[in-house]
Amino acid sequence: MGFVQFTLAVLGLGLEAALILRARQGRYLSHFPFFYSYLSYVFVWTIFTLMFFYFMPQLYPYVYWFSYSMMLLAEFAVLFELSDHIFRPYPGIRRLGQLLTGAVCLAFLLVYIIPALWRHQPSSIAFFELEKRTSLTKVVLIIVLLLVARSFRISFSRNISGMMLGFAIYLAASIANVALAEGLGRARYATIFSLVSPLAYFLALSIWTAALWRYEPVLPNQGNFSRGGDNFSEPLSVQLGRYSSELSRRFRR
Amino acid sequence: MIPLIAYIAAAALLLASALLLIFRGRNQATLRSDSEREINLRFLENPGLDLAERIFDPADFCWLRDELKFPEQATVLALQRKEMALLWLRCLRASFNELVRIPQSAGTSSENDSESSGWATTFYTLRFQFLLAYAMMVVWLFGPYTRIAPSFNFLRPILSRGTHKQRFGLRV
Repeated sequence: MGFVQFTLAVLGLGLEAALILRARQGRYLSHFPFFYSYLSYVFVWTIFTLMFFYFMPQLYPYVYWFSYSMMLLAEFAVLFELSDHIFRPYPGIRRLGQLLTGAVCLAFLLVYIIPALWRHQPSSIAFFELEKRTSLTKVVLIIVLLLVARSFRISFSRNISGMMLGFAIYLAASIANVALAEGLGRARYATIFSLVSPLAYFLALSIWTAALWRYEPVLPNQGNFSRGGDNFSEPLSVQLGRYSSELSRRFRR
Repeated sequence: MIPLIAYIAAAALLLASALLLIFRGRNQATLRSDSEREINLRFLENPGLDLAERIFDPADFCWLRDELKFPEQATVLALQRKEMALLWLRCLRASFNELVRIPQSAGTSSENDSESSGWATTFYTLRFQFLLAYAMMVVWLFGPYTRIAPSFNFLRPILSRGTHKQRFGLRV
């Protein structure tokens, strides 16, 4: 671990602590439980890995890769939470985020991630493959969520936008970094490889700090209008079902 | 080398798309006024839906082509109706999305909300969106006078054939 990596790790710890303390002070930890759990996890494991690096260097690689693989999985949980936050204020599509996340993750898992793991290859290469493919899955998930939200003309809060932006930068950098390491050879690319990932994570952390410094609830576009005029008292599910059936009926003529 | 370039290009493309979509998403709410939303919602009521009857009705087209014998004018009319039909479908989608976007607090009781927050509403929304996308594709490709939902009438004789014994006049 060089000076730059150590500095980035320490600065990262500072930003993570600031984010968690700020959310605790502002009482909005509970609004993003997975995200703050993820940050706490990274915070604790960064301290652990630093301790292992200086006091038990023989165990350091195992500890590092274990914590890193757990991080890869935890990021899925954070994205699940984000997807839920985007669509939650709108009863008609409240479950859409969960549905999209589930569908994209399952499709990529079956078609893209699992087949790569079945191949006979050294564990280090398999891990790189796993990182690259899970990162690509996550970025695609972010794009799908953003596209669907755009098709419904849903606006994002500062918190959600910042979290998405941070993740997109960090994950895109991870994909490019691992691809470069595989393409150019890990020995030749090792110095840059060990720099890019912490740098991208630090950048993401800076964005998250700016975006989550203040809690900004999602404010759906409220207006002084009723649901479909005369059907004010009708539950939304009934209205949606009625319009859907009406459209099918008209098209069947 | 090709996978390397492909992955780097994919990462760059995905990042650029994410940035664009996030910044556009931040400014989404300022695009529409309340009156515009109100108009959109009114479109889902009967007059708005009845408009479709006129747009998709081929009577004028057939009258012009078969009775008055003006096939060119009939074709022009069909093209104009196609544009109108596509516009109507786009307006319907905008109105439906407006309905879906109405937040929880805008005029429903908590009982209704809990009922509507489930998977059923998401299913209806998705079904509506798929149906609308399919209808737009059919209208765009084949015009407004094509039967949008396929007819399953050809199955009727098969389904109503009864049992083997009935078909051959044997007592069951």
